[in-house]
Amino acid sequence: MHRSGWVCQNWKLTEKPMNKISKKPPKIARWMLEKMINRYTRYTALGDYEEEYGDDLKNKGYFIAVLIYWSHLFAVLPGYIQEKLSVSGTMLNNYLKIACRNMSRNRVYSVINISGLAIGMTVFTLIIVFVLNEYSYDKFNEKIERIYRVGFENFSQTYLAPGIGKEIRENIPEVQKMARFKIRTDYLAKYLPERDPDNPKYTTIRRFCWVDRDVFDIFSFEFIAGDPSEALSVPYSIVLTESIADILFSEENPLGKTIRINNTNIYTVTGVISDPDKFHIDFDVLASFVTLGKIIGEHELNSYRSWNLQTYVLLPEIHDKTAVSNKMTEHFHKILKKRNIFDLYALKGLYFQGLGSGRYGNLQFIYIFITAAFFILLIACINYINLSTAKAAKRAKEIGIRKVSGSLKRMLVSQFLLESVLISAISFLAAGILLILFIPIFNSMINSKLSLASLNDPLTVIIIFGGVFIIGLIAGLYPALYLSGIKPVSVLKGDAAKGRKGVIFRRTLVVVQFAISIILIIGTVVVFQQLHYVKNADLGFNKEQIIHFDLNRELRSMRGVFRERLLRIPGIRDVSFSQGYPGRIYNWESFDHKGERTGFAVFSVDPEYFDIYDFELIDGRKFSRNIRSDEFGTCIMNEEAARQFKLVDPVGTVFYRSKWGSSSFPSKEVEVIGVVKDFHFESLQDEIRPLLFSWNEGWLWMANIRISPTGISETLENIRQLSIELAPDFPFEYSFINESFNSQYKSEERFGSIFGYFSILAVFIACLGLFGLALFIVEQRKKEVGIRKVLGSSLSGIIVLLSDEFTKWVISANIIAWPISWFIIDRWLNNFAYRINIDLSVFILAGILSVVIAVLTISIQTFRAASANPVDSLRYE
Amino acid sequence: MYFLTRTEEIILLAIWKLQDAAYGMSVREQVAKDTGKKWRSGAVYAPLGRLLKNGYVCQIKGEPTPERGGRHKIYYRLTNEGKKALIEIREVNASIWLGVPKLEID
Repeated sequence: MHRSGWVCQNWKLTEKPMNKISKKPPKIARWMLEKMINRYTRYTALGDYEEEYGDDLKNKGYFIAVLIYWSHLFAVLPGYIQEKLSVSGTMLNNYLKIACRNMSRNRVYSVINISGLAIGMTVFTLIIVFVLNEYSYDKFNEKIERIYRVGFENFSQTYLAPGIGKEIRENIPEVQKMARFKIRTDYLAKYLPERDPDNPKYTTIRRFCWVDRDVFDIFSFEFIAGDPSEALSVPYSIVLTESIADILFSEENPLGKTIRINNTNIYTVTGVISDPDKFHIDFDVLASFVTLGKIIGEHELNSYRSWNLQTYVLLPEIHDKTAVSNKMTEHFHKILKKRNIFDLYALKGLYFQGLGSGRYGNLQFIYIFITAAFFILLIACINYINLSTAKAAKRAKEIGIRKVSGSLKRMLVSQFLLESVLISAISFLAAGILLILFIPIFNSMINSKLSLASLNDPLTVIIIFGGVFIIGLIAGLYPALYLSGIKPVSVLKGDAAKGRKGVIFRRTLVVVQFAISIILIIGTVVVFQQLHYVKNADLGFNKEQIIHFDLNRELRSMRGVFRERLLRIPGIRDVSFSQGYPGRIYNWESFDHKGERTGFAVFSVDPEYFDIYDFELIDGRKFSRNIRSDEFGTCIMNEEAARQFKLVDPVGTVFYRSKWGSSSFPSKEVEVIGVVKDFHFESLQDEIRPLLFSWNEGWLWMANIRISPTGISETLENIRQLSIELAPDFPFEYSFINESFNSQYKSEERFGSIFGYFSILAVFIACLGLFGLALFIVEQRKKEVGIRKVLGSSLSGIIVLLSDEFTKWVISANIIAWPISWFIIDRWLNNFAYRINIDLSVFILAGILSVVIAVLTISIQTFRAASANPVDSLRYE
Repeated sequence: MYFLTRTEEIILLAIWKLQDAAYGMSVREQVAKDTGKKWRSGAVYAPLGRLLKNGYVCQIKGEPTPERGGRHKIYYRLTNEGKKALIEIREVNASIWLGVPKLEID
């Protein structure tokens, strides 16, 4: 008995890890096999495969087992084709041979088809890789289903006070683990190597992150060195990401080494994690809240003063998210004396909500890209359909003979399907090469690290292969049906199907192709117009020749000296310190006035700030260094703020801070001393919001320097020298305000440029098709042209005659495309609070452009036909 | 007149050797052992299907097992036809090898 118990346990142990990965073979593969294996051995073979899969799973691992299982498909495929198409191997051979001959006989058409399809597939696969990559964020977390970020309903507040997290951990029983993230930027790390202490290594830690040590129980960061359960347990311990560890320690083992942060505290490295590239929070270093408590005081970790933490919770396997958030709402109602509706945001979707710090994705872009990629592929498929039906006349004899010698319709269908699958397979190979070439370019365009490595999942590969197969089928289906429907009698009698039938269908398809291309062109133009507009719009302040940089710890402590020394540099006109720059500035605080509560952006600056940026003062006065009281509890507001509080004569009004949050206003009362004209301190996607300027010397973390336009590089060098002289340990980096402000539109810009490339490709593929069609039509009308010329028609007359039809198609494509593109673009522009009006000229421009491109494309053909000697075309009659 | 193909011969012999234990997997393993080569699964199942269709083998339903996804094992047996064909091919083999002069590679 005892023994059997042991055996049973042992079995469980070996069984357990296998439950995680499915013990059953892949469903899709099984289904396909079931359909494809010949019926005599289906039952036994399926059973065998499954048994074998089980064995392989044990002996060779999941990946190999799945691969082997899938590979059975290839083994049964030939038999399946033979059975289904009732085509023998010999016929199959014949089909392949004929297909190859056809391709090499009509090289131009083959090249057009293959290159079009290849480009389409490249774009499509790129987009698939891109989308897979976007969806892979945060998925490395094993407990992803159970992790939530705490916030308030309607996304109204994503940053919480430290006290909230602490209360949640202690008082909400469902919360198993809680971790808070507090991110600080630009810390300096210094390491003195033991062997070579005179040669310290430095690096700036871009994003230094304070966390609760439970963070490793919630998120599944991959530890390269160190033990996750121990990593942050002792105060002054630190966990580095791999890239930071590489910079500081290169070859050495970082574990147990000490580094000095900001030249003050010494930390011991207790762990190294691989770079969390796929985590929605961007950070380089983790240190624990315990340590933070030692530095800023324990009570700060429980306070409700500063609202700048992101708080995550881990719930049990089975949980009711709303019940938990309701509990939080109730609990904090008592503590905060205010009812805030809490909500929990699942980690799964956080990346696309883009409310965290660091990385976020844009679902709208993804949808638009997928749609565009799909349409490009569609255009390429249309090329194939058009060209192969147009060429039907040439194949008609072959089809007639095949039919007369006993070929069934479905055999012909399968022949033509096989041809199209062959073409798409060749295109796919070409696409593979293009893909390898273009992935780096695409990466630099969207600033990502995509690689084909994300395609190593066998399922994805199969999907893509299947996709190719299906594309081949879709593109080939209509031509196959059309061609196989040709009547042998009419063909052999002589009045062959001259491709008349289906002319209307082809026309429609060309119109569709061009309509899509035109929509893309118009879209691109408008996107760039809007971007030009937002970048060059009058923001209400002067943004030229101003540089800004974060004051490091050293410079911050000697601001006065720094300013004085800066002003001595000849190229510098003005210096001001502030909390941030337009585009990245504010706290969000709420204020009471006559019983009304409103939220304002609050931005701390010094008096010189107004001179540097040239804000237009419309009422009252600016801060003055001569009036001592200005620093305490006065503010300058923008017009919007006055409007929010319904102030007719704002200057002199006093209102009160509501309780929450730390503030750059030292006192509770705030008096208005001036009003500035509204200016855009945020991206033009948003309405101008109410804003208050405060003046608090403790909140000035950034330098703004206006420099004269001459000798800029010299001035910058001088500033750098000064910064390094005053704060030798810190690197000096600066940016121009207009660039920083415009960097808000980076993702839109990227979107625009990708969109631009898409439309170029779409137009290119559509033109390829048009070129092929023109070639065909001109060939068809060769004799007509010859006769016309003999009867005295002019060169230009014939060119017009031949181009006439194409022009009509393109113009009708325009008519279809305009309303559709207007509709789509209008929706996109609505993302911007300040947008351009869609100009009719864009449409007309796109229309003219498309006609010109189309006419140019066919002009080679028409010109050649028109200038040909009629003797050549008529001689043999 | 119809002779078994080499593949069919090999598979039939494998089934005969395995006697009661001849089902898909074991046949594949036996065939691989006999020839010392890896066989693609289709290379076994397709001829097996053909043999079944032509009546050289018959199927016997075995017990269902969980590792086969709840399917029955299907055992294969030679029919008399199959045995006859094997005997015939053995004779043909013997006779075509009869009187072969010493076969060597120079």
